[in-house]
Amino acid sequence: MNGATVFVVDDDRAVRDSLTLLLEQEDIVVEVFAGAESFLAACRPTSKSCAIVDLRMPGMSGMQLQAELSKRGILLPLIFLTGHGDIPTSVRAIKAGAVDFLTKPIMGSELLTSVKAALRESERMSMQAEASQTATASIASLTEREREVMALAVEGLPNKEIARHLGISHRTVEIHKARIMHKTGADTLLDLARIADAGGLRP
Amino acid sequence: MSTPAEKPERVVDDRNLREHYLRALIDNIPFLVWLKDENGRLVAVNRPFAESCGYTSGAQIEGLSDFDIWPADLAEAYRADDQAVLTSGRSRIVEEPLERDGDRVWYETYKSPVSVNGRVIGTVGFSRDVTPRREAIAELRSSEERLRLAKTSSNLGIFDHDIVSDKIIWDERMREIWGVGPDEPVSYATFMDGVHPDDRAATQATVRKAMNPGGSGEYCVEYRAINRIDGKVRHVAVNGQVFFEAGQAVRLVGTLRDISAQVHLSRELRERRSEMELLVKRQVAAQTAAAIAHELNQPLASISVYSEAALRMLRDSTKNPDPAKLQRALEGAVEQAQRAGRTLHELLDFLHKGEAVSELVDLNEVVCEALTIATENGYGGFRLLLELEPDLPPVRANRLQLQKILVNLLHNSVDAMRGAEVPAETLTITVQTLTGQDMAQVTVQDNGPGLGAETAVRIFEPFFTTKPEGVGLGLAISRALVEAHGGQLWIEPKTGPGATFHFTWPFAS
Repeated sequence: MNGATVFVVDDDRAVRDSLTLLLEQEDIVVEVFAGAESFLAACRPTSKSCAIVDLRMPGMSGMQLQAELSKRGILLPLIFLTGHGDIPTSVRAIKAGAVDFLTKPIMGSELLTSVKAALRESERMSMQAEASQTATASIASLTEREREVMALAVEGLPNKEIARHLGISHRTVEIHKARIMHKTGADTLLDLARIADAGGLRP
Repeated sequence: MSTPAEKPERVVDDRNLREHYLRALIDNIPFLVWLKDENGRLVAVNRPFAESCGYTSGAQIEGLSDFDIWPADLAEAYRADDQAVLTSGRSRIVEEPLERDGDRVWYETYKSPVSVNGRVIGTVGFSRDVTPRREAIAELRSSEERLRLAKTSSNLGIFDHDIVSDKIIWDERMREIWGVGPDEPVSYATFMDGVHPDDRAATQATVRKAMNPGGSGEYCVEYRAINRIDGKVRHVAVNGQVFFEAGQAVRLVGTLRDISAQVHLSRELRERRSEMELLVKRQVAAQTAAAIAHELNQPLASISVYSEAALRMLRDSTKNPDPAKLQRALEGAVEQAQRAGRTLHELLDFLHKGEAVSELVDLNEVVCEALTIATENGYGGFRLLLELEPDLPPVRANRLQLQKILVNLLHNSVDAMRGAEVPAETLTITVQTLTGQDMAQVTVQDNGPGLGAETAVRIFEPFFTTKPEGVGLGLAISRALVEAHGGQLWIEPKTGPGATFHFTWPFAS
């Protein structure tokens, strides 16, 4: 798992240390934190990272950390560790987007499976974020009229309809469309629809 | 010498004198006396009669009729009575109203016919004021009615024992409880037969004590009464008084109350209380188990991960295991196993002490002992403000358990102060009687950083620790122990600086 980083947030030194050894054996870079506060202060999620968080810690709890990350718009898959299987809490955590909820003592294989799933989720999220960023940028490079044409085109309207809708000539629509395809780098109408979706273009 | 002329005069005088005597006689009868002719005209009345209708002498009203003297309705009634006597020729006794000073008062009147040579010529009457008697009777009736109501509503039974003749008067309620018929005679033996055999000796002793002429005569006892017909058992409470004459108990009067419902209720309460105690004990056990689980779970989690990491290093065929890392994993596992062992020992230590017998303990002494222990454990060196209430009553507790609770609080405070590097570590310990309660209150206050609101809420949870290496005994167990003894352990909310813990412990009764 090259290039993967796992953040371990637990107030118990032995838990941090043992998890580090286990994860490093899988060629994962491990960064440890003794509390949620120090983690938040230093946290820099990469495109392939996740955090293993103890649910109960002095100061900020695991659930509070989850809420804080979401508030700050930080996309980071979380795996919670807990001393006792508290079902309502785990349900709340999962609903709030936690990847997994493991009860101590944890099994190494189980933890590694969760970590792998979390890292995949991390990659998916960062790719999605990247695609959305590119799409937003290319939509931003269009003129107002071009955006109008694009919105109607991805809805599946033929050129004639678009022309009638916007009160311009059929020929002008064709020119706009060619420019749109060029600027967004889309090859097909399907590509264009995907970009519109990722970039949040609304008709 | 007397002249012939004198003689008739003497006769007249004699007659006159007789007349005076008779007049004096009837005037001094404390009744109203009168004589009426057959037409209802008053022929003669005595002075009380005249006075009762506002005249000074009888002569003033002779010749008048009832209608001339009394209001029409009364006169009407008197006349009817007279008529009845005249017609029947028989005497009559009536209770009738009479008007005096505008008020109607009650008189009892005897009327008889007066005959001359076998012919009824009129009526004679005697009448006396019976208003006080009537009022007394009415008062007695209503007081009896009140008593009956009181008895009925309180369900009291009443007894009156003539000790000399051994005759007991029982009311219906007493007879109902004993199952004795309304006319059946009652004696001390009847009474004692209905007392539950197990309560007889004590009841008899109480009766004897009450009858002791040297005592107050107060008779107060509770026993079970058994109905001899249906066998129903009732718990009763009796209050009575013995009366003495010439140094002898002669009479015992009192009331009896059925308290079965209260007795059942208090028994139920007692049972529920012991159920509660059992629940608390179970809760202590559950909390202890939870604390053990938590204290062991942490090191177990680390041991498990350390071992798995080591195994994975050894199994990985792609690279040689790093000896330094392997060593770290194994050392970590050993260290955590020892940590688990220490935790277990401490918990067991605590639990064993928990089972020991309790004794009468001076809280002030235990506080001093705990301070010594804490100092010996390396938790000394702070400035101490000790406020011990002198002559504190003892509490019932297990000395070592109480010590442990206090030592635990002291350790927590010292840890907190040291962790925050407080310049002048100060600990205030107060032992005092809780006002209005039979309880002692112990307060431990430090000048450390205090606890945040959230920590203060969670600090008693068995799973909660602020100490990364927290092997210490949970406050949860301390609290459970305090509660199991009828006290409470809590942290004072937001009274900084520092944390303030209180616990209460009931005095030994």
